[in-house]
Parts: sequence; structure tokens; C-alpha cells
Amino acid sequence: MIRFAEVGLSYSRGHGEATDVILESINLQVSRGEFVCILGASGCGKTTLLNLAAGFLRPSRGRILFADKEILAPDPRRGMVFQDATLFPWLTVSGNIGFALKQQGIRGRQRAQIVTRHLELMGLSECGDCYPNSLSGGMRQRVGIARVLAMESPLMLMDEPFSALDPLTRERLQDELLQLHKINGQTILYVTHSIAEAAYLADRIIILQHRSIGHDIRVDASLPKDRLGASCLRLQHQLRRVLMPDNNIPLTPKI
Amino acid sequence: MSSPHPETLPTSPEGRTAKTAHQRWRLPHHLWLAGERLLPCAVILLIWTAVSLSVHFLRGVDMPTPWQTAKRLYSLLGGSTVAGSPLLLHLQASMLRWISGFSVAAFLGISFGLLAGSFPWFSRATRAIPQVLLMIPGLAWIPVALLLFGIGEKATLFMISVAAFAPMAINVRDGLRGVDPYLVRAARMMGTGRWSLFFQVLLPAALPAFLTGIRLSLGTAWRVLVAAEMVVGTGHGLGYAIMQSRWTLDYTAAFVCIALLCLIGLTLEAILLRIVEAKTIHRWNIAKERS
Repeated sequence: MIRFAEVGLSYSRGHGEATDVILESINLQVSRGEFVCILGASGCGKTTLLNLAAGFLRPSRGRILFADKEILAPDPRRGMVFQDATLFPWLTVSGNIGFALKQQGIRGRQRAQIVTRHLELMGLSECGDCYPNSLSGGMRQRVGIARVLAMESPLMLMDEPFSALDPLTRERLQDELLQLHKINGQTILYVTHSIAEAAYLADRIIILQHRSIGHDIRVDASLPKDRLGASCLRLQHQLRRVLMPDNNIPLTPKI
Repeated sequence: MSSPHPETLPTSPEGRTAKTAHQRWRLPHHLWLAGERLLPCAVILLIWTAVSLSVHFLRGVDMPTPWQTAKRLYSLLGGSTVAGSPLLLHLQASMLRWISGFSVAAFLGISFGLLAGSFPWFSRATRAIPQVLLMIPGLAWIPVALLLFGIGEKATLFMISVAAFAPMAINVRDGLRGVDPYLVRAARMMGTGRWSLFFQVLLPAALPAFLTGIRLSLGTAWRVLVAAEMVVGTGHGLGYAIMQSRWTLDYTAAFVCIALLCLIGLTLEAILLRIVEAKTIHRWNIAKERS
């Protein structure tokens, strides 16, 4: 689906001055239908990696291939859900969801039907005519997700979409996202700094450390998705040990 | 145990529901709102009256009071003339100049702002122009206007346009450049083309700055118009009428013209801009989004 081959990104501070290396030697292949969480400390380059996948940034070195073609610019086939929903405040919820469809030349009744279907899917049927400012944070993120789902992007890029929400809303939306992933089978690249979130959502966890991929952990798909289950807690513990090796965490958690 | 509902109103012996203090104050709510809006006008009129009376008693000079000004306005509307012409003719001449000057300034300012906001090289090359124009007071353009066009309509139009251009140009340019880059990213991610991005994302996102530009530009045009009419006017206009009234010692007519200038400015702002703002940025809450 998407492949990073020896990808690096660096910024030059100016003529003759030092260069800031953001990412180096990223090699990653994500297959169709995978739910991949990118985990790491703040400033490790998680969001940059996602921006590269979206086509907002171009790598300084290496190539990023999507469906075997190099990514040169943003594309509706790689829809992004931003940390702040980034809805257009002058459009209603329906207008926001239909915006991408309009750009793709889908007109009139067909567009309205797609919008209605996604409003229902995300539990937003009552809010079609509302403006984004009248919605709660959780509802706005739902609209952001509905917008990308309506685009039918085979690859969904999610940049800490639930990090600004209260814990209850966050958990509810995580559950809904897992359901949608199960139904639609989209490939998801999900950036988070939350160990618990990554352990609960992901099929595969990429840990970014020191500007490159430190660990690539595959989660046993046969295990039940239960955030308080032993397997999930054990995985969280394992991730903590990888991310915080100096914290003297015991090898086996008491569960 | 049953307790009375907290919102149950006590009933009077006649069986009619007695009004609580809250309800008594609720009834004239609209009147209170109207009163709140009129309060600043009342304060201004009071201060005006106090100053007029003070000047009369302290210096022995007759400064028109609001009441005398209102009476003079009535007589002017009834047919008497100021500076040789009916008041409405002066008003018409000023409005025409104002609209023409503002239109030229708006066209040039918006065009400049759109170019500078869209093309960084154009912005870099022309950055100093609106900043320099902003520093020059409206009246300082008089010699330039006279040299370029002589006394007459063209000079007035030039002064209004050149002074009202800068606030419009700067606000449009900065409004476009200040659009949230994440909105642009979201639009590009959804496959938005160059023109759609401009018309469907950048322009609505920059609307608050555009409206600020229009507001400042209208105000500047209005102020410069009066100054221009005082000096390079052509026989009609409120500014010209104020100047002539001063020479003929008809200060009450001058006050009528000044009061009219304020009223027209306030009315236009209330009608044009507030309605547009209420239907757009307040409804969308763009200002809150940005903060």
C-alpha cells in the first residue's frame, strides 16, 4: 500500500550553517488493511512522517511509494484526519463532508446521498446543518473522520486525532474507529504518543526513536480487543519498557 | 412530602398569577436593550449641551446646543440653504464623491492585496508601498492633488482614493497570508485545485480581515473627503458647507453638517458591515476559531 524506502528529511538552517535532521533512513512497508500506530516521544518525527505520507512534505532523501507510484503531492486517496479537526468554519457539517466530493466532481443528488450516508454512519444525522463552531470536540473529530471516509481514501492518515478530547469521548471514538476499520478494511497510519491507545488500536506498532524506526512490533491479531484485557496491558508494559528503558520497570507485570 | 415547585408562581387573591421581580424586569427587556444602545448618544448629547452652556457663560460665545442644531436641521430640510445650496445637494455631492473614491480605493486595494497575498515575490517587491501610504496623513496629499489635477473633482477623488487604498490593501494581503495553513492542507488533501483553493478556501477564510479593511477604508475615505472638500472642493459637499458656514458665522449650520457626517458614518456601518458580519463571521464564529 505505502512504502518508505531510505527516507530522510533534513532542513538547512541557512547558507553554510548546520542542518537539522528530522528523520533518517526510514524503511517501512505498510500492507493493505493494516492498522499501524506510530508511537514515540514528542518531537521524534511522528507527525513529519505522516506529512510525508500525505504529500505535504517532500523527503530530502529516499522515496515514498503509494500504490507503486512516488508521492509527489497531496491526494484524496490518502485522506488525513488532523489533530484539530480542521473543518471549514464557513461550511455546515454536510458542506464539510461534501467538500471533497465536490472537488472530485460528484454533484447533486449523488453527493447528497453520500453525505447523508456518512452522517448516519458517524451518528451525525442531527447535525448536518450545524456549523462546526456549535459542535463539541468529539463531534468535530467525527466530522473530520466522516469527511475522509466519504472520500473513500484507501489510506487514512490520522495525526493524534483524539488527543485533545476528554477520556470518555476518546475511548468511545477509539471503539468506533476500530469498528469502522473492521467494516471498511481501510489501511490506517495512526500517530499517537499514548502507549495505551497504540496498544488498544494497532495491529502493528512502529516506535520512532532517534529520528528513525527503533522497533516494529506486530500485535497478535487473534487476541481480543479489550483495553483492560491481560494481553493489552502486557503489550502496554512491553511498550513502556521499550520507550522508557531507564525507568526500572519489572519484566513481568502483575496482572 | 410535597414541596412547592421552585418555579411555581405565587397566586394573588384575584386568581391572577403575581409577577415575580424577575418577570417584572423581564417584560421591558427590549426597552432596556434599546436604552443601552441609546445611552452613548444621550451621554454625547449631554456633554455637548454642557460644553455649549459652559462656553456661553464663561466666554460669552454662542455655541450651538443639540436642540438649536436640531431646529436648524429641520429648517434646512424645509428648504433653507447653507453655503448657497440646499443641504440635500451638499449631502448628495459628498456621498457621490465618497462612494466614487472608496470604490477606486477598494478596487485597487483588493487587487493589490490579492496579488500580494497570493504571490510572495510580488509582496516582497511592493511591501513598502502601502506602509508608506499609511504613514501619510490625508491632508498632506492636498499639494500633490492640486499639482496633479488642480482644483476640482479629480483632486478630491485622488485624495480619497490614495488615503483609503492602504488600509484595504494591507488587510486583504495580511488576511490572505494569515489563513490557517492547516485549512490549506486539508483542502489540498481533498484534491482542491488552485482556483478552488483560492475561491472556496482562502477568500472565505480571509473574510474577517477583508471586512476590517473595508471598515477602515470607509472611515478613512469619509474623513479625507471632508478635509478635501474644505480645501479643494468644488462648491458643494458637507466639508465645503462646514468651511463656508464658518466664514459666514453660521455655526449652527456647520454643526448640522458635522452631526450629519457622524450619523451617516454610523448608519452605514450599522447597516452594511454589521449585517454582513452577522451573516458571515459571527455565524461561522471565525474569529473564535482563530483565537
